[in-house]
Amino acid sequence: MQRKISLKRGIDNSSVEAYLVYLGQRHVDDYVNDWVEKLRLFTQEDKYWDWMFKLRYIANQANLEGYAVECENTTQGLMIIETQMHGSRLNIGKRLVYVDGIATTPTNRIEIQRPPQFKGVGQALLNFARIRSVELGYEGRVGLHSLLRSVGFYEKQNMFNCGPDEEYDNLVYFEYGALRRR
Amino acid sequence: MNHQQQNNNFQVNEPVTTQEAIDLLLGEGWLDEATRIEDEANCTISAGLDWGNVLPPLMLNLPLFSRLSTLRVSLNREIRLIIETWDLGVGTSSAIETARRSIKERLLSPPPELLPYLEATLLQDNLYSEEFISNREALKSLLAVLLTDSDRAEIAETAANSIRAQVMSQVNI
Repeated sequence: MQRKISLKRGIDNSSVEAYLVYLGQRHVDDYVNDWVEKLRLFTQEDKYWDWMFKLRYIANQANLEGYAVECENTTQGLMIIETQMHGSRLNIGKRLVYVDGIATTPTNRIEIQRPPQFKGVGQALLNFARIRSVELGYEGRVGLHSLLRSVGFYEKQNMFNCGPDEEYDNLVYFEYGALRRR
Repeated sequence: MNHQQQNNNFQVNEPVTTQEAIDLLLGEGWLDEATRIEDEANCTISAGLDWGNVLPPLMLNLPLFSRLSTLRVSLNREIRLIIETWDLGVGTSSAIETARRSIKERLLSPPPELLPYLEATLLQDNLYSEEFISNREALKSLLAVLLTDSDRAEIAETAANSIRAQVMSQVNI
């Protein structure tokens, strides 16, 4: 899969061509070689080894899918979704796509670089999770547990805030409902 | 109509097709809306249960990796269900919190004698078909060996402290 999308340069909001692709070894390499050191430097609460392991084992797990956003030949964002085990908390009995992890490269994080190099990376991945949910017959339902620093982002998305989930270390659970035609 | 309004209006009537979802979510207009939200939110996107900065030995077995989080949240739920039956009143929350901290510590740094139990549980394919493990007996059996006497003493102590604090705060007896 290679889906052409656009991002915006943070410096002047000009559009730039990017691609949403399946997760591959080069993305893992970019994470290990380019991201980790910067994240450590800025003490971002990322899951270095957690991501590294996930990125390595994902190919052997039927219920997990990995995606990346590439722009100018570098990895701009990563997402891992789970597609078989999670159910909706808004509509009990319905399956959804669960975002197991989503992250952008350090230079796209405003806590590290302002303005970010590219804008729209996380949103592109999140929107693709909804598209994948439609493809799987889950009608666009997507759920995730937000780290504290990202709650504002998901609230702006009009995702339903289900509140802190004590089984998940009080991470805040958000869910997109079904996409409907007008 | 902006992209977000269009998005909201989709929450009525019929499900959308994949192509409609693509057009809506990655078609014309999505990026302007995305950057507006990103600017307003002024924070970075991230998600997922964190294990901290320690590498659990169990993670070295890659096939078990994906199940460890399922096991952890399932144990978190099971211990809550168990402690809620203990009738600890105001001590319930602190008891659950303490127990969960112990569970996380054991999963992150399991003593050698616990490893066979954990691996056996992680290797039971039939347990891992849903977000939470539904076999409560399997979870209870694991909790019985996972939580040590010291853990239980700490759980009891924190619950007792919470009850004590509650009593001491009642100045108008």
